[in-house]
Amino acid sequence: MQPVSLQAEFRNTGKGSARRLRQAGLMPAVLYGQGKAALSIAVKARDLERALQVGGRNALFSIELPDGADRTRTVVLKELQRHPARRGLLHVDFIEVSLTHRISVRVPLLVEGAEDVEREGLLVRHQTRDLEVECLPMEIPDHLTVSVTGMTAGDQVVAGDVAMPGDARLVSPPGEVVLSVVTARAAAEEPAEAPVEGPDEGAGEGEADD
Amino acid sequence: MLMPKRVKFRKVHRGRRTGIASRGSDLLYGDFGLQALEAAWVTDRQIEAARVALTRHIKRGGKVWIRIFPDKSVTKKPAETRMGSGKGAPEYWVAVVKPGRVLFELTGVDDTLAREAMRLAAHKLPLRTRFVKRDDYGGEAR
Repeated sequence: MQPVSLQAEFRNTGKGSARRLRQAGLMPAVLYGQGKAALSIAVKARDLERALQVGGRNALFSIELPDGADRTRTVVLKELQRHPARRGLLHVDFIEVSLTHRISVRVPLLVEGAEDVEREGLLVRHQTRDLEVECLPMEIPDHLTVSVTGMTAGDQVVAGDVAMPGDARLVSPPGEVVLSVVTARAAAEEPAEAPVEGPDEGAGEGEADD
Repeated sequence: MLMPKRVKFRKVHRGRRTGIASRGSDLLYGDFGLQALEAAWVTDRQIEAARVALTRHIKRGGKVWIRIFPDKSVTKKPAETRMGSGKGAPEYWVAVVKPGRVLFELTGVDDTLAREAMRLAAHKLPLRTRFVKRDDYGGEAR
């Protein structure tokens, strides 16, 4: 995966300044790692969104700083904050990586054959949707493939069963259940009836004030 | 209907419902979800009505998760009662929902069916909602 180039500029800290940046189409971010001092920077929000759509959560970026000794830094996303309701990006953390040192990242799982399983009245129930993998930054896989073709109710896939591409090594516990195939019931079960008739009976302790 | 098994205090203050959901705003279990766009008190009956609408539409197959729980009691004085004499009796339960909260999740069905099921469920709820799916989060797990 080749790094996506992003032009960055230094910014002032604080929420007022961050809001002004967002209004101007910039994304407040922080850059740290490799024992260097943390830098408050801003990158173009549209460029970042586009890079995330193409490269996903584990995209590799090349940040071009306006000045300084090492102007170009190779980074990955450490954290990504989204607005809970509007879902737009609010802030990102970039962590600098060395291209020769292995890093640990969470790689999403891609399930193959789920339609075949669902056609037989079964459901694929995910226990996790990504696994932690150690690899070189340039070799981060887009996804890990899990096939559920031919699986029946009660079968499960553990992390150790998932094939690792190239030089990648699994960091998640090998016994961690990734997904299981279960019988599809008529959707959600009926919620358990509470032992009380109404909120005024049974609930509460020693509050006889009415 | 959903309600707490036991509570420490039967009657609670109304409180304020300012702000946005600080948690429960991501899809955790399913592939599709119904996300609140405004704040509201969702009653136990409304949650049940929405759940029934969802499950009836998807028929067999699929799985539904209810991501809200009505844990706040609402009191009401009896009709034609004079004011005073203390707070009324608990009448029903509500879930306090803030914008961004994922109310229901669904998996094991296709996009069209999920969208229609969520539309029917949304009609049972007292707030504006939006249909969300896992792709909308850029493929992120959480």
